[in-house]
Amino acid sequence: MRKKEDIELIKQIKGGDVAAFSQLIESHQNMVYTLAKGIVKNKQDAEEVAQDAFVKAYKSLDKYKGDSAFSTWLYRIVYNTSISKLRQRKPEMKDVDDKQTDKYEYRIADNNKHRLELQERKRLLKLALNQLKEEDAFILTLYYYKELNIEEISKASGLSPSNVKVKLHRGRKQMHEELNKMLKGELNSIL
Amino acid sequence: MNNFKKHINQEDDDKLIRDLFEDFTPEEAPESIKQNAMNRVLHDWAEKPPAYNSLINKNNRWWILGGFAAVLALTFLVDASVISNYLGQFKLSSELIDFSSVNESLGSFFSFAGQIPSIIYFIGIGILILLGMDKFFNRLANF
Repeated sequence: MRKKEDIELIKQIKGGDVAAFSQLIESHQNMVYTLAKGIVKNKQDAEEVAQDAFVKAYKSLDKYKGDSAFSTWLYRIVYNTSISKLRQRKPEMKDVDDKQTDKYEYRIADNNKHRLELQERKRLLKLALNQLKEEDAFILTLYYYKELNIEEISKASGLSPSNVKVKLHRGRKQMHEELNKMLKGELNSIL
Repeated sequence: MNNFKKHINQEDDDKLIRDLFEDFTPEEAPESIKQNAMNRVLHDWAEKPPAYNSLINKNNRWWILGGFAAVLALTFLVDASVISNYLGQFKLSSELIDFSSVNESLGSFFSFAGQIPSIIYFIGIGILILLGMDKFFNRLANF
């Protein structure tokens, strides 16, 4: 459904209706921002990356031929823009949510005998994603949330399918470790 | 045995993460993303002059012009008296319209125009028709 709407909007934009691009931004901005943040691990940079990605997408909209979903094509731009941002950045920049991890550990320790509530699970996942390597967070989000297959993730990232599989496996493993670390070994009983 | 254990662990991880992602929602993007991106997009759009995709590209245009001029030149070589005799049948009656004053005022212009070889007129008209057609089809293609 979304694909059809996207194609219709793209037609309008190519026909000269630039304002229609704001609707495209509206429907994709949350995912674009989330993916960018998963890679750059920083709110401000993620915001810049998302903006740049949308502007780049607009400028190269003529190159989009509709071979894949618009979102997959857009995620490729987000991925490349995020990686460029990381390369420009100095290594001292660290995740904004880093400090929250410790607090979370203590809070969990108090009530770790109960199943985690929805908000806590969401927060836990967010923190764990933030601990993953840049590309792994991107790939895991597309695989588990957007339910893209390996081929589609390969298109969205520009990595080979076998490379995507390796990173997916590594991401899963690291995520399990991070979750376990945060929940102090109570992962299986809590989740 | 080790491989089997590893496989089971992988499946467990997969199930656990899949389960966690069921509650996942993308983060709310700051409103500034849309505003700033649209500002930049509109700025870029405003700076670009309106562009039409020409149906006849520049290289083809010169070939077409040359070909058209050649056809006109060949046409001119055909006996022009046939055409003038045909047009002569439609002589207007001078009793109905007095052409003398018009002839007097435009006499000098016609005598000057008469000295220019006819081929120049044909080529000029040909070029104008071709440019007009190009413009027309351009508009049609970009409508």
